[in-house]
Order: sequence, then structure tokens, then C-alpha cells
Amino acid sequence: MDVWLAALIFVATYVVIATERVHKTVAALGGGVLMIVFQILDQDEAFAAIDFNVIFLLLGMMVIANIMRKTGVFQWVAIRAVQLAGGQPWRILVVLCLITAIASAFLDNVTTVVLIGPITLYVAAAMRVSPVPYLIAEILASNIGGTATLIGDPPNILIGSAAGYDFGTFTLNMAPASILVFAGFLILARFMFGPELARQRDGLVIADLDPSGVITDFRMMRISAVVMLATIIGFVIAGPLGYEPATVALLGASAILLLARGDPAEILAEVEWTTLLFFVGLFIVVEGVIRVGIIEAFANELFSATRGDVTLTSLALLWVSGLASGIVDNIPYTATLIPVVQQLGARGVELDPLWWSLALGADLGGNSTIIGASANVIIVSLAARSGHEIRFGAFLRYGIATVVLSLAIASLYVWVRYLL
Amino acid sequence: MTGHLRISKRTRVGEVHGRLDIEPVVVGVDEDLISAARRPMAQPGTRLLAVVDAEGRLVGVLPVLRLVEEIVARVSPEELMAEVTDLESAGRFGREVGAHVCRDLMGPPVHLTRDSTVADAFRAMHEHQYSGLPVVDDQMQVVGYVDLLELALRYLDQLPASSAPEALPS
Repeated sequence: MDVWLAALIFVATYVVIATERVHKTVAALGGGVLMIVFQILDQDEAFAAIDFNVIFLLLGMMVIANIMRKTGVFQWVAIRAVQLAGGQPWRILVVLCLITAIASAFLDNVTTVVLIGPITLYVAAAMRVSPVPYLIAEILASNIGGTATLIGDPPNILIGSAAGYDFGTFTLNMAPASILVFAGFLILARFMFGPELARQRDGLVIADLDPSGVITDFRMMRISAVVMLATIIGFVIAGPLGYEPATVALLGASAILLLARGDPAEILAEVEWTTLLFFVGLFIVVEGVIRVGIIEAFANELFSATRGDVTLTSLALLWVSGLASGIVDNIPYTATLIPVVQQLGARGVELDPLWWSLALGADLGGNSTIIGASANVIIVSLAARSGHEIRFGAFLRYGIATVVLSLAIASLYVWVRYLL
Repeated sequence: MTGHLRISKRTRVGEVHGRLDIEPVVVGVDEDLISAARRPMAQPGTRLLAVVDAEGRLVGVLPVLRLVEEIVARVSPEELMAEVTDLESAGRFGREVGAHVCRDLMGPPVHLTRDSTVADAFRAMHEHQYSGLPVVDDQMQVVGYVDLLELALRYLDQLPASSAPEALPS
């Protein structure tokens, strides 16, 4: 009985999340509470299932990014970079994509959009061209860049915490793949956007833009830049020293809150609490289906189907995750697949290739549709707010092409590095 | 202005707008924003432009403040860029820097008619957060303008009705 009940709650929660009939946070929390109400889990078990390393890592980074983005430092970087690109449309697109990818590796997507969005719209307006090709390219670059580090994309945080990978290990394994995919994407982008950019005139003059004009608070800019840098260094050295990434993020958040001298209530009010509670609900829902044995049964079936072959399992995981992430939210998808991978590991399948395949598939797959990842939704929303529509179908052809190429490069990477 | 009028909340706009000092400023829907920006210079009291089509029908309204922001975005975009801290402000900035003609910036054609009451005028301006509204006739031709501050001051000036004559200062 418990099995069917848990399965029903799980499926209902995920259907509601996918259909967006109810806010996803409400759906996840509701599903989690039902797991307790129907005694699939008791409250202690449910709360123990919450991965506080994930929650506090996200919280800490949100606090740092929220303070940092108000200083104008991101806009300063974007303006300087575009000025260095000169007035050539293709070079501007490459520079914008590069900044987006790098920012996405370390920052949440809202912050990245605030960094890159205004300058993109300004450049397009100055050239009197549509910003849409630039914005689409930035979406694609954002999801590729986000694969590079532990903090680049929420699935990475989930996987890193579950697998026990520290920041350095994660980066050493994922960043090379991210760079290769980004290089491939730029070549593809030349074909996808090149003809349209070729019609745009060169010689855009944005030299008149004064980058320092966007800095609103020089003191906080310096402080937040130092705290951000120290936090990233902290992530790198935390693993060998035995600290969890969440400790580093909270240390950075505490330091910046202390130095900001602002009202903490005001700063903390801007934390995306809905995202954090979404994770809380998901952890409980997934624990419910683990507890009744559904995940174990699914892992058994998967193990039988692949006969425990690590190559077959890894590549299947990568492609299935990549294709699924374009349709379903990659956060609940990853949260569900993590215990499946752990079960496969318990049956003797080598874990490393499976973790990296899951991370690459879940991250890169988000590029296929405009609802595939939060970066897509946010940039499409920004475009709409500024009077430019990015249609589902129009994005799809760029997205699918990029995802197929990305997954092909990622497959080659996983195969050469872990399976040969 | 000439004549005296006692304004109550039930007074019709048609009786009021001709007695107010601030005149409507009309711009074309496809008029360049720089050209449109020069018009309120001649009517400094106007804080909302009436945007009309080729037949002179009201098709939108454009707050002067938005126009000012757009012009500033051309001259010194850094200032506006510095204020972008969230998705909403990023979108507003994008709309401002991407706008070229009045159509790109205008809002829906919120308006009053001659039969609207003063209470309707206060309510509409509060609801839409505008500090003035055009008055139109049955063909949506702009026939007047009601400025919120001017109307409110005229209204307040006559409030001590027991000790003051029922006339409005003209």
C-alpha cells in the first residue's frame, strides 16, 4: 500500500511541477508534507532527508551575488568587454557569450542576466538590430558555462553533495568538458547566427560609454569582489581541508553581510526563498520513494537492462538526461536520478562516469527548449519585457542543434576520459 | 482663466478641463521620440503626452518622465544601467534603449471623457499611476487635458467653503 501511495504522491508532485498549475515550490512542499501525513516517512526521517549542504550553499551564494550585483561591477565588466570587442557584431556575440558562460559558472542565472542583459539590449539598440540572436546565444552559453563548476548549476550542487565531490574535483572533471562544448558551440553559432550578424553593420561606437558610470558603490564593489574571489578560493581549498562547500558559502555570506553595513533583513529578503523551499520539498518527496523501495526496484531494472555495463549505462544516462532535461525541470529530475545512481554503485557499477554523465546530461540538456532551464526562462522573460519575443519554435531549432552537438562532445569526453 | 466654478467630486470633467491652465500635448504615434520630447518643452506643466494616430484618434499615452528617461538613456546610458538590479528593471532599461518612436514607449490609451466626473478622474489617475489624463470626445479626438496636481489644488483651494466664496481662483 505504501509503495502505491508514495508513487502516487511522487507522480502527482512531478506532474504538478511540470504543468505549472501550481507554483513548483508549493507542489514540492505539498508532496513532501503528504509523505509525512500518510506516514511514508515520519517527520524526523523527512527532515533528515534534507541536504542542508545544498540549501546553505545556495543561500550563501545568493546573499553574496545579491549584494554584488547592486554595486554595478557586472555591468562594468560587460561594458569593458564589449568595448574591447570593438564594433564587429560577431566579436560582440562571442564576447557576450564568453562573459555569460564564465559568469554562469560562478553565479546564479538571475545575476548573470542582470550582468549581461542590459548591455546586450543597449548594444542591439545602438546598432538598431534585434537583440534576439544575441540573447539566444547567451542562453545557450549560460547553460554550457554552468556545467563547469560545482556551483554553476543546481544539478551540480545536488550531485556534488550526494557524491561527496569537492569544488576542485568537480571543476577538474567538468570544466574541460564545458570548455570543449563551448568551443563546439561557438563553431555552431557561426553557422546559426553568422548570416544574420553579417547583415548587421560594423562600427558600433560604444567607446563613449563610461564603464565607471555604472558603479554605484565603489567601496562595496571592492569588498564584494574580494569576498567573491575569497569564496571561490575557499571552495578550492575547502575540500582538502575537510570543509563542505556550504561552510565556505556561509562564511562568505557572513563576511559580506558584516562589511555591507546594510540592514540584513533587507538583504535577506532578496534571497530566493521559494527556490530553497523547492529543494526542501523535493528532498522529502524523493526520500519517500526511496524509503518504499521504488528507486531500488528501478535501479534493479536498469542494472538488468544494461547488464551492469558502465559504458552503456553512462552514455544512456547522459543522453536520456540530456533529452529529459529539455522537457522536465532538471532539478527534480536530478534529485530523482541521484539515488538511482547510488543504487547502481551499490551493485558494483563504477560511479564516477555515472555522476559526470548525469551532470553533463542534466546541465546541457536544458538548452533544447525555452523552458529547459531557468536561464532560458529568465532571458526569454527579459526579452519580452523589453519588447522582443523569443518564440518557442524559433528557439527550438537553435536549442536542439546545440544540445545534440553538446551531448555528442560530452559523450566523447566521458568515453575517452573515463571509459576507455 | 475666466469664470468661476465650484468643483465637487460629481462635477463633470467637461465643465472643468477648459478652465484648467495646463493644455494637452499631442504627439504622433510614429513620431520620433526626440521630436516628441521637444513638445512638452513648450508646455512645461504637461506630464503626460497624448499619442494619436494619423486620424488624430487617441491610441496611447506617454508619461513625460518615461520620455525623459529614454532621452537620458541615449545620452548617458550608464546612469540607467547602474539602476538595473533585477529582471524588471533590466526589462524596463531594454525597452527604453530600444525605443525609437512614441509607439515603442506608450502605454494603453487611458482617457477621460467630458461626461467623466472629477471622482472618476482621481480614481483613473490613481489606478494607472498617471499624473494627468487626456480628455477625448466620442471619436477619441483629444479635446482637453486634466492634470492631477492642478485639479487637486483647485479642489483643495475651495474646501473651506463655509468661509470662502464658492468660486475657484481663476
